[in-house]
Amino acid sequence: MLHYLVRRLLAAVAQVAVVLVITFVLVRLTPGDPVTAYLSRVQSEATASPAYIAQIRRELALDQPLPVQFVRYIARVVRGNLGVSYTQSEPVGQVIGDQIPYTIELALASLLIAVLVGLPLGVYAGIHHGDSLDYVATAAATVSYSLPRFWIGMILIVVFAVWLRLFPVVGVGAPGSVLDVLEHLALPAITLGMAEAAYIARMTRSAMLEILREDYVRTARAKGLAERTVLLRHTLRNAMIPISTVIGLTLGRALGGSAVIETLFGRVGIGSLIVLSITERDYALVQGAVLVFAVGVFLVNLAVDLGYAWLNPRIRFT
Amino acid sequence: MVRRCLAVLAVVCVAVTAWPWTGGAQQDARPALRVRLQFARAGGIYDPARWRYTSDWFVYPDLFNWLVRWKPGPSPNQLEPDLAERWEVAPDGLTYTFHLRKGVPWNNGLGELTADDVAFSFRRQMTDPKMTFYAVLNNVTAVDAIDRYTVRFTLKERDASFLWTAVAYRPGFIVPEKAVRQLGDGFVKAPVGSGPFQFVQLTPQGEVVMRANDAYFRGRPQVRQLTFVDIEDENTAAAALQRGDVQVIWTRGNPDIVKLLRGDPKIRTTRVVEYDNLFQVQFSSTFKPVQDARVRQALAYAIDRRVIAAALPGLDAMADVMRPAQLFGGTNDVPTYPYNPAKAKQLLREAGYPNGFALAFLVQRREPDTTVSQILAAQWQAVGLQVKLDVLDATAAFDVRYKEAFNVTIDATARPGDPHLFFWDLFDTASFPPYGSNYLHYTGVDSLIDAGRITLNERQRAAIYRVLQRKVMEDLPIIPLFYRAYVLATGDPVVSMTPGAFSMFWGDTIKVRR
Repeated sequence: MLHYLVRRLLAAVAQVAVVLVITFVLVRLTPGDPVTAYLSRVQSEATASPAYIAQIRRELALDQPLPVQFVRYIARVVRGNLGVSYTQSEPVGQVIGDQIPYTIELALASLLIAVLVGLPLGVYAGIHHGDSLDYVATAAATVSYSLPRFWIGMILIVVFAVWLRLFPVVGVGAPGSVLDVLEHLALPAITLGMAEAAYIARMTRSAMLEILREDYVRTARAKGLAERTVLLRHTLRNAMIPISTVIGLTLGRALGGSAVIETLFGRVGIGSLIVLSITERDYALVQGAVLVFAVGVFLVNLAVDLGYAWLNPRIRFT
Repeated sequence: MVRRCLAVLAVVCVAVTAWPWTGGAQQDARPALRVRLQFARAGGIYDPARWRYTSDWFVYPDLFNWLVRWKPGPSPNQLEPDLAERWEVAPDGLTYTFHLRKGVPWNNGLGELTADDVAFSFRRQMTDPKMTFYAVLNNVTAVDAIDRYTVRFTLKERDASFLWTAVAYRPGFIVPEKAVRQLGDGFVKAPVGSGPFQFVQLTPQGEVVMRANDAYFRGRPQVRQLTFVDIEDENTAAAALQRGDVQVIWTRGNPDIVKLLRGDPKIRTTRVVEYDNLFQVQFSSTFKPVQDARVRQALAYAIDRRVIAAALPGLDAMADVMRPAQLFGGTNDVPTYPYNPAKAKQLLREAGYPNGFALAFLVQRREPDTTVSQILAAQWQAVGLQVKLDVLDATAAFDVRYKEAFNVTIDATARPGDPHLFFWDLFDTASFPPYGSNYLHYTGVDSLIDAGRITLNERQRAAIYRVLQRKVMEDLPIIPLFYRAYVLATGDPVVSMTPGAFSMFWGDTIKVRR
């Protein structure tokens, strides 16, 4: 087990290093830099002489060759220093630390909705495959998965916030007020969770169908076990191995999808922060936020892999 | 016994939870309002001398004062006293003396605002090249506190636009010397001013919270608290207003949202046209065909502004001149280029392009730019040009523009009140990129711009600017398209507020339902 963890950790370091390189290069390949973003707002109203522009570039080390910038960046990251955000005028670590709880909150809530809706729907469709409700459930899942999240969000806002006035439209709620936070979380979490619920439902249905055709399920039924026991203990538990992978991926996608949802619902969080930092070419913040996302996805995948052993005791980590 | 204890506990709980609502409400019944920040949030730099982000500019007028300010309203054309009760300009135009109101308090108990604070506010910007408006103030040689309530500015050379461009504009906010010295760089996150509101905090949730300054010299605001909320998406902002999550929003480019808000009986909308904010076609100095004035005129004749107006109903007032007659220094008595595709084709032939030419059209991905660019591309194609649209995000588009690596683009130039900055930015040879927006490297009106700046007599100035506009409308270094407009929408309990121009939010003008 320990050997396995060390191996995974080393692989993760390599993966994160690749993510760092790709992010570092990609943000710099995009036209414009932090100074251009600054000038686009203040040009002809402020101090924009070439000398002043050169000075800002020097301060941000943008005048250095790319390899030098990269080595300095890696040296800082290794020491746990993600740099200073140009747009927020604060250390990147602090900015991310302030905002990541809102993204985690949103991702977990959407995952909960996705699992609570998608899993029973998929199990039902798998067990009753071929009947009319299966077709309805499958069609609903396909439609839900195909619709753009942005559009789903707008429809939910119009129906549940403007018409029915059940939920607020924007913000994250007052800190300390659980009810207020939950009210603000409802629509974004449902928006993000619905598409994932459809995906989980489709995967669960496929896994259930496959397991239900296995010999041991037929044997269990032949032994006279109750159908409930056959379905829960022999079918669903085995189907959960591929489903747990899907759920793990879902959490990763929910983190990624937060950019659109946070922007739509006026929520703070890492997703909207990445959008802002890309617009403003805030290199340090983009790199820091993507790094945190990469580590987050790695941790989720590791947790899913470790969960296999709990779901199937025959699995051993070597 | 248990029941009795529970009853007592219940009474205590009710009393404790109800206390802030009953007692607090009696102390201050004014509402707390939530307002959509007009631009996407970035920065949170609340020291105006270090300004970097447009969204922060929205907040400044509620925290700070100028010596002189433009009269709040959609079309700034008049200056009025702010911290200065009155002012005098020396006959040679080189000295400005301001007499301050007495007894204006700083927020947070920092004492009285004095001439020393005024001198400090300008001097720190004049001496530190890192300050945002260092270059803007390079015509000021000295700012001296003559006594506790009198301050004098000395200029290197005459500048008739000085009050508008320096005193009542971006560099002109007055900050408390004591607080800036005490807090140092921390002032940007904990600003102290003399305005109608005082800064409370920029919350981790991204909201800017301010509470009313009840000692404000113009009177107590009708609003107890203002919270600026960042809502990026315009549809979301409209929904939030309809639901009452926010009470004030703006929309600039989306006709559907305007229609939606106007159809809601609970929402008040006000259309504001900014005649100092000109949306225009700009040309690059690096693109050969547009160096010929006949080609630029041909492109102007090919534009049918009625199509643009139909695509942006209610949002934009069309412009066929640079600066309309209702503004100081404006005139409609200039050559214009009404829609005439035959004339456009004729001019292209005369310029040596009978079959047109290929044109890379740089566009920033935002509204109304994308809609307008599609219309212009279609109209230019109709007179024989081959137009390719390059749609980029704001920073990438500016990067291309800044490097002058485009053929033609569209953008807006907004300069309030005095005409000098507007004409300087667009047409002066000192305003080639990166300093300004003279992308064509136009050289035709430098002497007129200088004359307009140093002439103190207003009638003579206005005459100079009329001549200038006739010249630029003949040479056409830019093509005026429309004056930008926005719709201010408010919901209950807001009864009225004075709409601002150029990202000014006048929080103290908000009137609420009693």
